[in-house]
Amino acid sequence: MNSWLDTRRLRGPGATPGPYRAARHVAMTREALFLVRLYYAASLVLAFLLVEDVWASTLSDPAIDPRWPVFWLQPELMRAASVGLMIATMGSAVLAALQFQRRWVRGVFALLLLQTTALQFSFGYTNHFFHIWLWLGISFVFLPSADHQAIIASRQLRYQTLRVFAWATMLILLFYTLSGIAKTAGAIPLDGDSLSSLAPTGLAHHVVARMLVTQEVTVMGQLLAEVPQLGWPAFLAVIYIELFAIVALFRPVLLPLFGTFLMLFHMGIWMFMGIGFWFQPMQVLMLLVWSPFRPARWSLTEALHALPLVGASLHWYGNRQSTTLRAAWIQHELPVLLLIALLSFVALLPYVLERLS
Amino acid sequence: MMKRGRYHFAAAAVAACAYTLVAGYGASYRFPEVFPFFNWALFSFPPKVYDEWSIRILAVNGRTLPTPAWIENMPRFSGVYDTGERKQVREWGARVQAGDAEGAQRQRALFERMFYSARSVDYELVVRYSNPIERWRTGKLQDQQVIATHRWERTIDD
Repeated sequence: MNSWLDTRRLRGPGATPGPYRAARHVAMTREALFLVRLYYAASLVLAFLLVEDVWASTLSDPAIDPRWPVFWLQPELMRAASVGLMIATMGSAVLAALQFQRRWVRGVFALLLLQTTALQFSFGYTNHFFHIWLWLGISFVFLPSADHQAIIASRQLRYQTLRVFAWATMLILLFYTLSGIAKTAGAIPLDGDSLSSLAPTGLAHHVVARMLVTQEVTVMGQLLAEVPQLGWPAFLAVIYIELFAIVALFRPVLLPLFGTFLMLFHMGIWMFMGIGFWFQPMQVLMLLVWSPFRPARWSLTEALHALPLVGASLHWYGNRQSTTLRAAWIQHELPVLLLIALLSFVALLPYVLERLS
Repeated sequence: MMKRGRYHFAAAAVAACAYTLVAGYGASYRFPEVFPFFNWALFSFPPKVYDEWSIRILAVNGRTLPTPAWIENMPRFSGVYDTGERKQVREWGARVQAGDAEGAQRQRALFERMFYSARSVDYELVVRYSNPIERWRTGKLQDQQVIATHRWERTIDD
């Protein structure tokens, strides 16, 4: 009963240990709490950057298109209310850096972060630089409200801490998988105005179109405009890692590998497109590369065996006497493909319904 | 009875699907993005045809220009016509194409604030189509259409 909920089916060849291996709980909890501390330290910097950006918009743009969290912001009081909101956000970031063990402090910070980012996107266009940071802040509200020594000493609080951290990890991996699903869907262009995302010049078209919008020439963008096929392998790798990112939740040995790749990916976006995702590499470093759920001793061979679409074949090759390739795929790849298919169905359903209507 | 781990897995699966649905529905122009749910569909469809939305100025303060000028080439406005304004014009164009008259009107009002240094501006909303790589290398266009002609005048409130 409930066998479809058995996450062991998703663990892949090599059966890497799951996130809740009891013997490592104390060490894992210590690492998780260190990363929470790091989150609130970095939030100080982020709060400054966010407030600086919102302040510039508030000064230059009197009219707004308010997002729902700032529904209370009346146009005639906007400037005064914005100033109050920004001061409150900075204050809550300082308070959270000092007292992040208290849930109400984390709650106030998350609420004000939600308000200030909503205000930031109330000036006619949206970017997504701070979305993941905001979702992490919302997740961390559910951490226990206790001193870290008390958390380490209590089995129940350790579980609660690791559970919240697992949820935060799931969110960040889900976001990358959604991005991968959209890019994979882009393999089949729906109209004559798009190329397939798998086309050799796909990345070059993205990069050059971006340069035309911003009128900013990047070094790698200029190169791609000259040799469009040069970006093909990198774009295929991005689609693969993003699409299967969520699998790392069940195969923690992949967390450092995917995390390292995604950090390089964000740096690559800056080199190709000039988009500075400054906080994203740090998010990936904290939640994936330094994840408390990563194996105590990481091995590249194990990570390669855990790779979706690759691991089962490697496993079969190493065990040719005892298993068949078909059996290896059914055992290790089919559950992963079903998971991605389910998420793709849910993610693409709104597009399909919109097109049908 | 369902084990605790399976309960959390089921809850996480439901939450992930719920997030994905809300983010997906918010991705269309009929249902604007529900902040902070985002579908993360970034750079999914490489543009074979690049639609470049722009503004061509016809007259400033009632004086017709000798030849219509692209806004980015006019010193009077080019200083405030930056990436954010380019994105606003793209968003405006996208809403026009999607038939979202209310959204287009809102984007137009947001964009027109950049004319604050003038008393009135007559301008066209233009879309230029090109292969992005050809456009970058040679400047070649495939097509150009004037979508709308507008007149902005400063009011007392401005």
